[in-house]
Amino acid sequence: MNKLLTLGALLALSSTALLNTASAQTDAPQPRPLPAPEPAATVTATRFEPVPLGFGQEQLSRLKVPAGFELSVMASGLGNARMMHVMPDGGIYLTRRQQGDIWYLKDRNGDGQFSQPERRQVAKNLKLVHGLDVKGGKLYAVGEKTVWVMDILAGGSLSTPRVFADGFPDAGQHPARGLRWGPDGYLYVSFGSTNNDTPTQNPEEATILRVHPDGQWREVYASGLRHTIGFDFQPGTGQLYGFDQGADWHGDNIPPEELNRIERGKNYGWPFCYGDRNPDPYTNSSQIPGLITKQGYCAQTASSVLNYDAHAAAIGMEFYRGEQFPAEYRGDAFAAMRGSWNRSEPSGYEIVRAVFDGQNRPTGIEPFVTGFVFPEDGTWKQFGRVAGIATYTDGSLLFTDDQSGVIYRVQYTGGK
Amino acid sequence: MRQKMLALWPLLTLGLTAGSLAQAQTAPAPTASITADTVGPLNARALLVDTQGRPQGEAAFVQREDGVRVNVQVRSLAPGNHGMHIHEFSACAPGVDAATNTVVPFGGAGPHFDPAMSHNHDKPTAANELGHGGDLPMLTVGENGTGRASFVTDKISLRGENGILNRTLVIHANADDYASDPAGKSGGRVLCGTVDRQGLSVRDYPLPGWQTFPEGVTYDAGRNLLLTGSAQTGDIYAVNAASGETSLYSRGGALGRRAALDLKVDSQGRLWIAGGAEGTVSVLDRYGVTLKVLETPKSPAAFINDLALAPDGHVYVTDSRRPVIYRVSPDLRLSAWLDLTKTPIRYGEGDNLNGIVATPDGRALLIAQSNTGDLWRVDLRTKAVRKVLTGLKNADGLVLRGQDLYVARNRDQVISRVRLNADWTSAQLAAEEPLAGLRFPATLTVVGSDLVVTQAQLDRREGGTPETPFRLTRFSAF
Repeated sequence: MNKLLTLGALLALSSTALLNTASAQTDAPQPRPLPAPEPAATVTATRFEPVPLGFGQEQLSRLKVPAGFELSVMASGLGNARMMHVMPDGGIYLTRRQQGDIWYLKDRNGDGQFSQPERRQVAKNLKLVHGLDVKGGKLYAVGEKTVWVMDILAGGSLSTPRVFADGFPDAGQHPARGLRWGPDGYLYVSFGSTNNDTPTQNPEEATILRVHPDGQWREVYASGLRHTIGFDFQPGTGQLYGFDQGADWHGDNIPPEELNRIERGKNYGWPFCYGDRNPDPYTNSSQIPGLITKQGYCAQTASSVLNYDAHAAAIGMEFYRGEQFPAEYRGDAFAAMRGSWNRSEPSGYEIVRAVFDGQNRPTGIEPFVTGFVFPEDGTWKQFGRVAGIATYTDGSLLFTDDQSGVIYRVQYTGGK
Repeated sequence: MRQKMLALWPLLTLGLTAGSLAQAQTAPAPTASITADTVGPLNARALLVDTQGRPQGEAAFVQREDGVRVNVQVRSLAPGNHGMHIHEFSACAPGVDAATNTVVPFGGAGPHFDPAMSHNHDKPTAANELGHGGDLPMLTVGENGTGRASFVTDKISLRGENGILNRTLVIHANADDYASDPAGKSGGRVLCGTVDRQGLSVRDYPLPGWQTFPEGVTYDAGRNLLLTGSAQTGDIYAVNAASGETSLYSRGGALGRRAALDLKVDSQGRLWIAGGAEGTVSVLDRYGVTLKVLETPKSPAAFINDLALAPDGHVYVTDSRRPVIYRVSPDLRLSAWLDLTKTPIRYGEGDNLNGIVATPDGRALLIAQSNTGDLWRVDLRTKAVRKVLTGLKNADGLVLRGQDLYVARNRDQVISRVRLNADWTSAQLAAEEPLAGLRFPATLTVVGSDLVVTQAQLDRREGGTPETPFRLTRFSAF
């Protein structure tokens, strides 16, 4: 036996250990023997889809852009036009989720239109294909449970798709996946929750996964993200930002849409918390792991950086990297708000601008292109569900309407 | 309550509680076959405080051959009989009372200590299978507000599965009827004290999270970091061994990374993770990013439990359900290395091969079999298998320090030190330590002249509630 001689040396350490324990006990929520009781919460929720109208040139006058900007249409009749990737030569890859294919569009004659001969289906049979990005001469796209890779061939053609990574979660209620290569050389792919507002069995759901460059393995990069479709890395800082869609059926204003600064390992709260770690009174607290209180759970999660109108439904999001827009727009982000179906007065149906200040901090979200939804004859009508967003080679901003298959273009012409 | 009115008669005599009353009437509670010595004398004290935090008495516990001698004295209590019990947790703090689902004083002490999972409150003479191990005789308080009790009981111990170190002694407002669940109608908790081991200090590293269940721990000496992982979520945490500061090292949850059992850090700073029921071995780079996930054959019985880094760069892996030892080559390829059905090792119910270490001379693997308590030696050249020791039931993680093998024995709540001979062919049990109280110690790692053990509380995944914060505990090598 070595007796107590060596043990005495630890005495000095033990007092600090006690301090640590004390602070951790106040910080760490206590698992409970039973779910924490919560007061009843009653909600009034409205399903309200504004009357959909087809696209027509006559509708364009309803759309509003800030002074100095002009709006034009580059294509229509493209079907379920969702996400876009602009190539340096002006070619555009467009995913159509419902049709499960990818199109290549190029304005060869420079007339500002993607006329029929300038459109070509270059990949098909890709179930629920959505987010896409290009790296090293290859196009990567994500669908329901698979990331595919295709070689980019001459003239914009693509090789037969190969499976790059597989075995991702079921899509369920949120089949719009996002995908983008990060500045760190890893592939970031978002997988929304299968459901509206309860914990999921598969821990890869409601996350952004970071995939190894060879596609073989991945990690949960951030969690508690119900449906973050659009995300992008801020130029200069490399910080990841994304818009997250809050839950349905919790009323007109809860929970808001979130702009999150997405950091590795953090939990952004869904399904129990929204915004600045606010407990959502309408989620079932008995399902919180460890039966801790909702308040205690939310305190362990990460806050959003900005909030926006509930149910506006952010889809595509991109930092503006062009030079055509005035200086105050440089470094801002644009997002497509596809529009609500679960709010008594519609929200969304617009392109928004997330304004960033000189220190690269987001300061506010404001409408940029509006007018797709309007009251008429005692109801609301809409003629566009905006989805994808991308900066064109000339610095103009492109966005899609997935309802009528339209690609819009916003150009800055002020001062000319 | 299983024994109805019979339980009422001892009330009167128990109130007097002198002498070894409990031991005289109790069938012996099952005790782990622990015979080796602890480092120092095994005794403990509990300073009893009231709900305002004022000291109002104390209790002393001394381990004897036939049980624990308990001496309690209190003051400023209401005259009459007061229920007195050992509670499961260590915290004399407010916490949830399940009966009302509200926060009550000293609720943080948790429910009655119930090592045999009887789920029954009973008299202090009931065997632990029939009643809570923590059901002690009532304390009688005189008209002057003071009360004393002195008795010996073998329902509790300072080591082994009935160990009460770092649990709490709670005195209730009212008399105990020795029958009604959950606490004999003894009312509110008025005095509480944590049972503190005397003459031995340890350092706890509290961990974040409320479902951490830390199974594995390993030490990266170059960065002075302890790495530990959650058996529940696969999250990996880094703990600064000097400051105790913790950070999330790698979030679990991705395919192949949904659980983290044993961990080992290699000379390149890569972290190896045993993936448990997912049947995987994951390798993270020194920044905590997944480098590779190695898969064993798909099976509902997979249970990849423990890892050993051999001096030649191979990694050996135990599976507690499937009778095979896997090996990962330096170029990160996994294969079945040894079919155990062709060896003397027999797989049965429960966890089989578990903790594994490679001897530093590269000659052998030492492997613990949890369910049988056997320690095996597997020769790395000939693959010959021989039993080196038995009696190490519930042996979990292993770590070698010279010729000393430290064995975490999870349900027995002790760490055993086993002394091996030079060629690792024979061994004897040298010491057994409950330290300052261990909750399902799962694995160990060496940090200089100290060791660090996980207090995994994995038994609380099968039922009950874990106590938070989860923690690692550092102690001097004994």
